[in-house]
Amino acid sequence: MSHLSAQGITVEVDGRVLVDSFAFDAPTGSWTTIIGPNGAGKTTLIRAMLGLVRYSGGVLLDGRSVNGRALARRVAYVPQRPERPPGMRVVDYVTLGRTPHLGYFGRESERDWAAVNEALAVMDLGELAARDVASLSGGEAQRVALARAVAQEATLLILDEPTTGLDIGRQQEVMALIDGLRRARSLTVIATMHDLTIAAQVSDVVMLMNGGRLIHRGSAGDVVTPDLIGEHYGAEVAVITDEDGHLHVIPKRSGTAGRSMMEQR
Amino acid sequence: MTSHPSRLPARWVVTASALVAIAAAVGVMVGPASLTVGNIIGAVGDRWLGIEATVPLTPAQDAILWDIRLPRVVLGMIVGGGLAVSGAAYQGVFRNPLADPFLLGVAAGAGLGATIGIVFGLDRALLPLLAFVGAVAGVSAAYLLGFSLRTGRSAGALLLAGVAVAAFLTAVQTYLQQLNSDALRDVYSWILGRLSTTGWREVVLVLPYVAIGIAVLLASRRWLDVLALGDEEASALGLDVGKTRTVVIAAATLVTAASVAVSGLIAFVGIIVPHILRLLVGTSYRRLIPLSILGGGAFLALADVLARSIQQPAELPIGVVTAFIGAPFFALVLRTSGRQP
Repeated sequence: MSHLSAQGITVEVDGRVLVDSFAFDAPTGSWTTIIGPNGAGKTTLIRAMLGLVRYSGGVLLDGRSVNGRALARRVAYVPQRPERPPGMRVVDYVTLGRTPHLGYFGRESERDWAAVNEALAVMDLGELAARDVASLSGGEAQRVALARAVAQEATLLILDEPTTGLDIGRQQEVMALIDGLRRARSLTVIATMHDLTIAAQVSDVVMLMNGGRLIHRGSAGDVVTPDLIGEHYGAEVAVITDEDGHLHVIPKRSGTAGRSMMEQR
Repeated sequence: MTSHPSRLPARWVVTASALVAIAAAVGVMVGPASLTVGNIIGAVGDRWLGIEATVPLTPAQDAILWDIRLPRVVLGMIVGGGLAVSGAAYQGVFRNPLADPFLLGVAAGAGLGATIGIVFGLDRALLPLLAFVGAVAGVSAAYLLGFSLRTGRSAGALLLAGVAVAAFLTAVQTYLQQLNSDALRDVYSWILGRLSTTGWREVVLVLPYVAIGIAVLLASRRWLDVLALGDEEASALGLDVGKTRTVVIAAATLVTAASVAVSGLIAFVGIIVPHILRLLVGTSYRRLIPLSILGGGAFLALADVLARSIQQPAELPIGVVTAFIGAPFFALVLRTSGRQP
């Protein structure tokens, strides 16, 4: 159970407003994706929700404000490029997911080890358990980062660009893993994404962000439109719907740029 | 896969403890008046277990064992274990394998404290106190300066502050030294480090500080692994990064300051011991912290044996020995190991 309610989050750094009165609700079990061009403030918004950056406004989990260890027991974070310390074994890395469940002088209980072993099993990492995290491929690394989040036993998963740097097969694999976890454990998922097709296909709700503000919030069909994408990304795209009802965003060859190149010739 | 995958394997603790026992035995046996293994077993059985030795020690041998060699070996182990574990802790906090316990002005502060004591001709018994106060003051200054920087509590800001404070304190120390060139030799010998004892006095002096600091570092070892993920991910896992860093630095500083107060600036132990252990047992601080205590203790006790036997009856400064054997050994380990340092 985790219903997140963001109430007018504003982040100001050195007089610059990076996130401006951003408000939304993410109901339990839903998948909300934040899209927007580079510099829109997506990652800053995520960092505010995690309490990693000073903000004004409120972030409520099931109606209550939580922070520190209590927040980490409820919310797991998978950054865009998770730190992979050289020499750290996969199993030790996944064990770090238990951090918010331990007291300062505490040590892992049987319960903690069971959670770690289950996370390794769920992400099918048994064979990689003794590998050095720094030696993993991109797809393996994302699975290991997700396993750490599973070991954390959080009910809300916050992901920053979970498919960045992965090939198309690994992208689909990681998305399927996250969606499987969400369904099996009623997780609430909040993610930022650059790939609009994937965003449109996996999300219950899509939020378009630009200049630190929420521009539009709704279903993928409402938000991922050629007009909105054109206006906020400065891109020419076609959005087509396949027979399964899935949206596909296809970049079109830019007319103006192409033409001027031709004219110069 | 075992169900408790991250725990410290017992075989490593046993191996390291055996090394400590061997170092202790060699440490008490070697010297101008040699003692045999039989002498030592007999004497220990007699004193601790109440079993009468078949060949009792002469009163002179008894005094050499209990009042001269053993205190020195124990002090070497406390200082060596303390410097090594502080080094490992600093490396964890700063996420930098080259960090050492003398960072942040411990060495410069202790050096200045001791120099003040020497050039002003104060009672030698006050030197440890002055060095300790100087070391703690040096780190405190670096910490306050680091906090006041715009980058706030970051590890990088602290390191830069440490560099500035260390440079300043060293300049003051050098100036004092130049004004009192007759004290140069004494200051220099203090800086190179030595383990000379007057009975158990030094051991009693440092043990409480080192014990408290080491207890805190042992309790913090799992958090150092969390810090390896960087401030942001560690915070997202619910760790109070600023508080943890302060607690670990304070504990490591207490241990280092107490160690250098009685032994001078023994170089290299805080870097070489954790490094060798990393190559052997991996990078997890759950293993490095406890094994650094044992490994550092054994290393310094053995280095001291060399320091007092190479140029008999004179003694080499132990800091020279740790660097002289440490550096090539370190290079050898780096070359022969396929693992990342």
